Amino acid sequence: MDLGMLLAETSGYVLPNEKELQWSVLIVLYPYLTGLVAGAFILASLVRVFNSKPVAPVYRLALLTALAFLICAPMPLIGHLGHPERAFQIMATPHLSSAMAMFGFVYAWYLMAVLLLEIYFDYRKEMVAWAQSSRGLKRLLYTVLTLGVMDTSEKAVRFDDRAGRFITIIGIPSAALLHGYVGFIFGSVKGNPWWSSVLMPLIFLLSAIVSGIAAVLVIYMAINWYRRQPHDMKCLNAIGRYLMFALIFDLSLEALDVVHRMYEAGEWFEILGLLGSGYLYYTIFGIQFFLGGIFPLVNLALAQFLKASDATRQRVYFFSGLLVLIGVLCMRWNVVIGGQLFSKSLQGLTTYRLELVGGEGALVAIGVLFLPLAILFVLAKILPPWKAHEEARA
Amino acid sequence: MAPQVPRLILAFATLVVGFLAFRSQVVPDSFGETGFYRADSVKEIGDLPMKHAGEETCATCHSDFAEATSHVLGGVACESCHGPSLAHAEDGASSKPNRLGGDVPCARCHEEIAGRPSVIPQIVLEEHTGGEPCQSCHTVHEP
Repeated sequence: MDLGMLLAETSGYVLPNEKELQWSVLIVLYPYLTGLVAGAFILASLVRVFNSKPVAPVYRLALLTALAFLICAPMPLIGHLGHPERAFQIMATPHLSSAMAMFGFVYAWYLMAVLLLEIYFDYRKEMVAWAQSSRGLKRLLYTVLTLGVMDTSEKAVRFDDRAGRFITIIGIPSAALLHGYVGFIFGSVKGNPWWSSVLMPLIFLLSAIVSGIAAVLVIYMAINWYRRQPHDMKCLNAIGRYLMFALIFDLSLEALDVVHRMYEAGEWFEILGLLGSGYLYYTIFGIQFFLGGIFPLVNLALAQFLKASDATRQRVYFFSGLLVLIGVLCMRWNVVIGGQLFSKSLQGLTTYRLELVGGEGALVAIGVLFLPLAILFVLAKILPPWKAHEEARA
Repeated sequence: MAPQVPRLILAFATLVVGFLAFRSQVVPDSFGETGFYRADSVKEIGDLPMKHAGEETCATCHSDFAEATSHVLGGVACESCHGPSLAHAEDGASSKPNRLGGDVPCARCHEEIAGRPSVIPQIVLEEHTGGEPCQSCHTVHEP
């Protein structure tokens, strides 16, 4: 974009290096994807650690969803930096004082020490059975996935269960660390009043839990429709309830942050007010707070407290989940893009133009956003998450 | 010990050893010797061919310009406007430094920018020159 166009899109006094935003829509997707990972895992932990039996039908789906989104989480970062061949350097020569460099290790820990191990222990007994009942490549695949441990004695299976539970317990603080870290990256930027807040890691974590629960809810219902299977209403009701409670906490915390900023009313307050009442008005108040927050919350509450039919509840849960997902995506947008729209001089605003094509355009972003679903489809083919539950129900 | 444990340890050990082997291949030997960078790069950069002569070198022949002009006294080195001139210093006949023309090198420092220190005189080029080159009114070394 040439200088003339950039100047035409700014107002007030904007420093030269602030006219064009450095963090694009791909950086919006990065906290969104990691949030879905953390949220889906925390939903799974409700079954394993807190023994929430009604949610058991989505336990494995939540784990696979977390894995699929985790595989894609670094993609927007690598796409944004533009040198995938150098990406390994963050692991090979990590700078220990850099929070961003430490992400590589948080990511590796979460992927290998938490998610892969938990999926391994949870599926091993069935993978042994699938290996024994299949032939050729499929047999080889399942044998490799079991690491060659074909022992399904009661003792070995009991160990799987205990180890899985232990890893989930480790996984909960790990999930909190994974997404709290993302909030920390923004919250620790002292020079940016839109980001700088000690509440930021908590807000990110709460919204991650909300979006992860919503994602598993929507994916579970979509898979049931695709497979022409009935929904487990006890499970849907329980997830709906958890989503409602998580939304209450999330919205309360966000409201607390807003009230805190309004009361503090620093020298940045006027420019942030202009931002909120201008460029970000619809994405903050229209989508993030109302369509993605208050509206689904009221609907979920009504579904809980009124005696609605199953069909009505299903619609409420599905559309509330979708709206929450859109709302949290807008929250990420408002944080990442919003934080770059005002000048450090606090005297001017710029705008962000999302291009359709190009390395950081809308099409790439949509691809990165939906790629985890394609990966989840493949994972579900290899490790069907519904088999054990359906067999138990039968 | 449950049979899963040794296999998992083996799998993780393989990953860790594989990573360390990969790291030993891709991290340059001199990385970290003198800081968080490849120490050899300092020597490699030092060995690059020089292009600038330095204002003391210019002054050996052009003392009339290098002494007591307001630009020089203000800390502006000769090559800031005339460009890299080592080749000219080594062989004056075969290479000539840039001769100034138009308003480009002047505007580099004197175009008005709000963040520029106010000790540097500044103008809005379009309003100030009316399209005329700066040299029409100003002498370059004593503007």
